[in-house]
Amino acid sequence: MSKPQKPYLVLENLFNSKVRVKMLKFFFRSYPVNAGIRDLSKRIQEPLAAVKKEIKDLERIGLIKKL
Amino acid sequence: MKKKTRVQYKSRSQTKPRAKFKRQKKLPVMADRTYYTLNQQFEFFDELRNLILKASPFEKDKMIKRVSGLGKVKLAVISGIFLSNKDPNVKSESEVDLFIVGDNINKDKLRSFLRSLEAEVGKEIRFGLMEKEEFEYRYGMFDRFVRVLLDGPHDKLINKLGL
Repeated sequence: MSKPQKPYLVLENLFNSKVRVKMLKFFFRSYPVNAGIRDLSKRIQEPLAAVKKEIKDLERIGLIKKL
Repeated sequence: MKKKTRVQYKSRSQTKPRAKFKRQKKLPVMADRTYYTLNQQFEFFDELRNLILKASPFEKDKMIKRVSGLGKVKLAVISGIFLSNKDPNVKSESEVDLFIVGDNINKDKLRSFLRSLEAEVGKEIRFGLMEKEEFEYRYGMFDRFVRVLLDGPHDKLINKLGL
């Protein structure tokens, strides 16, 4: 028998970065929104360094852009 | 000598309330210079958007646990953003996302709970709090706010009022 299904945070486990998922949620749920790194880090309650890294990655693939 | 220092200490503690200390601590945080926004030209913009908006914004069990730990919670209702994943096309009319009826609610706990919830959801949460007496009065007189919330799409996390 399979394990009982519990309501689960699918995205957080589908992607391997919790910080990234939080950022995506923030950007898409409050779209259109502009946010700086510090602002973002405060809003999603994740360390600045982690946010910086994800911003860099997401900007490289073109999902987010500088204003 | 001893008396003097004591007086000084007292007056100092009186002129420096805690709130002021907190504000001073926050000052050195620099403002952002660069701002980022979503690039709508991104190849999978719509697909990603649908995926994220459809995914559940919270874990129900965890939320019930945290809400009931806030105080004597009689009723906790979610609406708006928390239900938008079920059908993104149906816009909820309700004015709040989370509504709590209860007495002796711990305000500090509530504040930190909301803050972490907002971080999890990625959006500001519209929130309402009422004491049991006020709610019963409003419920009895078919108050608009209460009626819109309870007639519209919503989900009761905690219901000790037998609604």
